[in-house]
Amino acid sequence: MFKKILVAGTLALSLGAGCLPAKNAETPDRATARATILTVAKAVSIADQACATYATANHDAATAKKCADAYDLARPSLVGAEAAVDGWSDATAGNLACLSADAISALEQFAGIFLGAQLALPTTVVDALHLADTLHQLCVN
Amino acid sequence: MDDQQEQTVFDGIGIAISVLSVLIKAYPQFADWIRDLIDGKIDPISVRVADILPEESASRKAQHDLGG
Repeated sequence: MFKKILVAGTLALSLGAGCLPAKNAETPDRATARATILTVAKAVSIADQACATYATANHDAATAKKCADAYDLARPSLVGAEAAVDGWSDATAGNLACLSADAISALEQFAGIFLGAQLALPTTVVDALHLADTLHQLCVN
Repeated sequence: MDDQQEQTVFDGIGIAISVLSVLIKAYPQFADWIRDLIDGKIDPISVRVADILPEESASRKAQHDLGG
């Protein structure tokens, strides 16, 4: 089922990209890779903000530190993956999942922290974790 | 493009729309993303990771504010 969703998502992003002005045209693979990176980045941002809100409200510096460490793992990974997409090649296409490995690991850390704090995981993070799971399998394979 | 190819494309678009419809209902965040993309509010090329993720996280700022 998720493969169908991923294919549909890819198609949707391609269709969406097709609606944009010509100057923004990228190949569907490249546009999808870029959108995937931005989606994971958005999920990290939302998780970080939710964690900061929780930590501040509960005077919980230890949880804030755990989330900040996960963020510091994700950010350079995503910046690196984005740079690889900027200089797109066939090798990039094959390695995207592995280039984002630290970001995926960070998202999983966020999920663990939220679970430990009995916090509901934001829906964007849940969506990104599904995506991350597929990416992780692509990297392993 | 011959008739058979046209039919294949037509069928493919129909299936894609059906799957997208399910996807948009199941994943509200995805629906928002697609809507913003089509409306031109999101430009996947001009938006950068650094725009979404500043160097210092909100969590790190909270940690420092809490004296951790």
